[in-house]
Amino acid sequence: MKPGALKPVDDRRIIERVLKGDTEAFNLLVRQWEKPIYNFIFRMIGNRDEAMDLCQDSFMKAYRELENLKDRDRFSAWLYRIAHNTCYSRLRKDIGKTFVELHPEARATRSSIENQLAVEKALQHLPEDQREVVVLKVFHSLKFDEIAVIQESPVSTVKSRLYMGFEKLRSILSENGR
Amino acid sequence: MSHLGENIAAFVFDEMPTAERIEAQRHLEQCADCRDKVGKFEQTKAILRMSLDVDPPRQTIFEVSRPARISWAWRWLAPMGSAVAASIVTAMFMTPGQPAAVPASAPVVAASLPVVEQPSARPTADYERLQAWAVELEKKQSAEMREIQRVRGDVDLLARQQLAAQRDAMETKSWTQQLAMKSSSEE
Repeated sequence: MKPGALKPVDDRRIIERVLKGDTEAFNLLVRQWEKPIYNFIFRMIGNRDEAMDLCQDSFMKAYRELENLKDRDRFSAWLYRIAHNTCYSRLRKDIGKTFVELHPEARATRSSIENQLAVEKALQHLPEDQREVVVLKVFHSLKFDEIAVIQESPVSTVKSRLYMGFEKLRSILSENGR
Repeated sequence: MSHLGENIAAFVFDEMPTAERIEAQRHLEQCADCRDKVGKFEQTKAILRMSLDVDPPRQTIFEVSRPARISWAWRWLAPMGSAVAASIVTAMFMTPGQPAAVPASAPVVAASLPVVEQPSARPTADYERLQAWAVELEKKQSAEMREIQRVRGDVDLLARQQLAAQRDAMETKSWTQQLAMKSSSEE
């Protein structure tokens, strides 16, 4: 199954258990979704420790709001939406800050670790809305309409953001890979 | 068909309706510019996908605070034990001449009620069951308290009787001494 793919039956059952009073069952949802949500937040924020804190915050919010989730088959989209809000609250605090440039060694032919770092840093150069579409599409395999729900934007805007994000990433990665 | 433009994203990620996709493929066969753009888009996608997911630095486990669980034995023995201890202490330290008064707000009363903490999360079935249990226990403890009060009354009575006996003994001793003094003076 693709990363971040919806598993409505499993999630729904667990949610029903939690809402019936089996609060410990919430940890099953955490175990299932922690890694994708953590990686989504990490790629949005660019800091591992902070991503962990925001990931925990997202799950806390999800727990508190679980009974308000109307469509229990759409838990993952709802959870990504919570993580999206958490990231944007955090990112708003960073307005005006400058990003750190890529290390000079990243300009050489890159190993897989260097490539990983280069991608992580290149992502940070994108505007938040484009970065989010790229991350959700490339690393979480979400559909355009699912991303549109998370971003509360039309599908056409989401496609446009992905296109522009890719254009910019290609430019950054090829420039630094030379 | 015109150039793919921003529809390249839908084409590369295979989210184009079938008819539109067939048309796009026909266009790509004829348009070198769009082929080049699709190729670069695919390449960027491949480079990005080389960046793998990482494990979170620590695992998150939520602990849901539960009502304090007090064992049955402790729920009953603690208040009863403290009641008995208080009664014994009262009887032991009661001085002659003073009535064995037991204050209405003796510590044993305050200590005997079980405390059931509110859970921080939403009420659970366990929590509701424990609440009902606490109410039931309070009722039982009211009966226990009445019994404790009755025992205390008995202890009071016993203490008063003991005090009266001590007074009798002292009076008897005094009379005995007076009698002894009287008889010695007569001799």
